Amino acid sequence: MNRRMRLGLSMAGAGEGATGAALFENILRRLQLAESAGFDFALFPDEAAAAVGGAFHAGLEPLTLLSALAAVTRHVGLIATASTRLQDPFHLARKLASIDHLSGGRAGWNLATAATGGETRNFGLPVDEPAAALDARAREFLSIVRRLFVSWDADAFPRDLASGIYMDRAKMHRLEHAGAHYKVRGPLDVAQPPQGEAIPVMTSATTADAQDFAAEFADIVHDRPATADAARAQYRAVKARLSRHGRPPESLLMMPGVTPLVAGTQQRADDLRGALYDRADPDEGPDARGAIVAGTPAHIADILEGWIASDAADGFVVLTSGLPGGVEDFVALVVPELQRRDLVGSSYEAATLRGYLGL
Amino acid sequence: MRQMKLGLSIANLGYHYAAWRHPDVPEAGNMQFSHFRHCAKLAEAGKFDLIFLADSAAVRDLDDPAIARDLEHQLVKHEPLALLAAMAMVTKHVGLVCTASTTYTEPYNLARQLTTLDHMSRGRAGWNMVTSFSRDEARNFGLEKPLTSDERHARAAEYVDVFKGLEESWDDGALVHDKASGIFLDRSKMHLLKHKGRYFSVRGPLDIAPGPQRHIPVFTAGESDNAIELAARSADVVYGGQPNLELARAYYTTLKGRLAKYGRDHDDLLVLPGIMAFVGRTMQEARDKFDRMQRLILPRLGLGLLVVNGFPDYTGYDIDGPIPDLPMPSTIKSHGPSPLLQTLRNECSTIRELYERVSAGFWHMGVVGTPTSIADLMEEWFTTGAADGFNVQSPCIPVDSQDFVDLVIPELQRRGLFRTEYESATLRGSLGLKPAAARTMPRTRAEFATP
Ligand SMILES: Cc1cc2nc3c(=O)[nH]c(=O)nc-3n(C[C@H](O)[C@H](O)[C@H](O)COP(=O)(O)O)c2cc1C
Repeated sequence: MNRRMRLGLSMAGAGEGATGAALFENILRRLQLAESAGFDFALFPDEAAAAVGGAFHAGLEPLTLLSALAAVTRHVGLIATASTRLQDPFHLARKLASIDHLSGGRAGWNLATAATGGETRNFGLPVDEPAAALDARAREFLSIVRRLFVSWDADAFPRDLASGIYMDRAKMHRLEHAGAHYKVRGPLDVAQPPQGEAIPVMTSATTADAQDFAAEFADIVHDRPATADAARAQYRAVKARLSRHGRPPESLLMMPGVTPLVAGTQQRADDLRGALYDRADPDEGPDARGAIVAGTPAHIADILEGWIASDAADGFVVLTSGLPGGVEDFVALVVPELQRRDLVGSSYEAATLRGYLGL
Repeated sequence: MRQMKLGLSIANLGYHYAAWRHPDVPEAGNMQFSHFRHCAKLAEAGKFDLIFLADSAAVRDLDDPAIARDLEHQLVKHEPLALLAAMAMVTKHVGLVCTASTTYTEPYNLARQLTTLDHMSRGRAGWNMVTSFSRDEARNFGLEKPLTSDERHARAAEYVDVFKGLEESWDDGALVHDKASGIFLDRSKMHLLKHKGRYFSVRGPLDIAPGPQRHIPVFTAGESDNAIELAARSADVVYGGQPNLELARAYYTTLKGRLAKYGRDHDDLLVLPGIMAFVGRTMQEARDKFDRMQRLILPRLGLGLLVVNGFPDYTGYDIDGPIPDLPMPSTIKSHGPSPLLQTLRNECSTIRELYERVSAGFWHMGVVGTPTSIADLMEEWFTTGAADGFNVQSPCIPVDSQDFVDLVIPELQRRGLFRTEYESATLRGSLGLKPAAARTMPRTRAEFATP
């Protein structure tokens, strides 16, 4: 039996250099394309600082952006990046819960634990905080957010017109959290979101500590290993840790980033690969593109299928930043091939992001 | 001719404590976008300047058993910025004013978020700057009790300067994005804030292009001396809470009188008092509507709302009997010292009368009337130095907002007091505020150096 392949689309580069309202239009167009192709989710990267040293791209703030996009899309999942170092748990819980309500259960959170150098300077934070401290903060933060989501039981509001009873106090839960980094009393001032406590959480997991964190808390792990072997090693390392937390292997999805270069012939694909290296963005880190998969649609589908079959991935986050014809080609040529092979569905078969992901 | 500015304050299901029991109010609407989409379109159909979302980041007053929160609808809601971003997608003209706290947020985050809203709405974002007075909020953000008003306002003053400074990160034309030359930005047009103050350390620049309005209009509210001073210094619009003409005039005069101190003109700050109107085609119809809502207030709810509004707990007394002589507080958290409590108490003969008066819009202009009588009142406030417009606080939403749009707005338009078409694409433009050019704030920026 085929294992279903999950697909996310990175929105990096969606703006194509535009700013402001034009940028928003470009993002919306890309998102609608992702939705028409049945992507499980779109991932919105973020950094709360301007990288003015290199190719600065003026952006939009993802939580506000997603709130708007929730109102103009119907199916595609919307995953916002937010750092536990820069946000406050009560505020973030409100925003994510609200986006989940506005989208009918399509919100997700790409959890970052650190602040970049630029970010520390915009928030008056110390630089070079030890990873262990950031990790501890993130754990506490996440546990607060998840408990805030279920401050109110789903049936906490009887709204009985005849008796005049609106709310059932027995179904309200205060947090009364007091930890090393945060004190939060609760309850959240937002009703329980459609996905409840379990709004999907994505993280990066390259170090052993981050893998422990992911195995305990995350629903999706997204990194950018450059080769299938590297992906397999990470896959094994993360999945092996799940049992320590009583979680079955399928409760966490490994979704590495891949950059597809689609062409009519293998020769043309190899030319594109060369051109891609020539266009490399000086701000990009070495693994910004993940594995580059170049070839005809059938060849690309073979490779992706191979990764799934050999436990290198449960799905992919497709990266197309700066590719000529990037998303359009992938959607027009590769997605139908994946559908033909029954690796991905051709319509949305569940109601929530969790549902699409089979979690 | 000078015209009124009007906001529609969409407080979920309405300002009346029993709003959710009105047969035409969607009782679960506070979490449903369909409700807010409807309201947003209604605001635009009525040519309102703006939609206003008040906020506190907490469910307040759950601890006191005397306050019957289980009978009330203002409990859970949407995070206001998320909701306004969604509403931006279904509207074209109306302003979108979001309440956000200077005490519990970071200026870099908020500047990004509101600038994003400004772009997505093509120039319609506004910020209602509050300092969060309540203990319930404090306890969601790591504090046992709120900071003092002095401390909150000192932080707010620094915050709003940082916010406005970040809005000036890029001169016009700074973000080139020239694909051919590969040049993304013109560094000579970039400004690093390099702010280091008592509360914030923010380098900048903002990582988002300047919004269409350049400077997002800043709203605020409050009657304390601190709040008034901050408004005169840094706000474009003040949401007022005065129940009668005399108090409204006094507040208006105080606010406008402080502007000169900051080198600002009389028209640089607009004052919009709240108005809670029960409108009927005839006086009888208005009365009937009003009475019907008042009858929906259960006694336990009524007793609790008195406590919320600063009155003593009268639980255990006959609600239709005389008001017991319990000590009256002279101060209320949300408004500061107020003689209004005692005055109202003296005017009422029973407990029920007292809570019905409070629920009829006691802190604001509460009116029951016809389009003509309501327009008369608004015109009087508008032309005699009490208001530049109003923030409309419908008792039941959307029904009473609909009646305001259908009945009162045409009357105001007939008198030439309110627009018949939007004259501008931006909130700044609708409000008639001076256009905000880049690099207009040398004075404030110099202040950054002295914390
Ligand atoms: C009409 C009116 C509306 C207000 N709206 C809000 C609001 O939405 N959120 C909030 O936190 N405070 C709100 N406030 C409270 C004020 O911002 C202020 O905190 C209060 O007047 C107490 O003064 P102080 O801050 O000096 O203690 C409002 C006050 C008034 C009079």
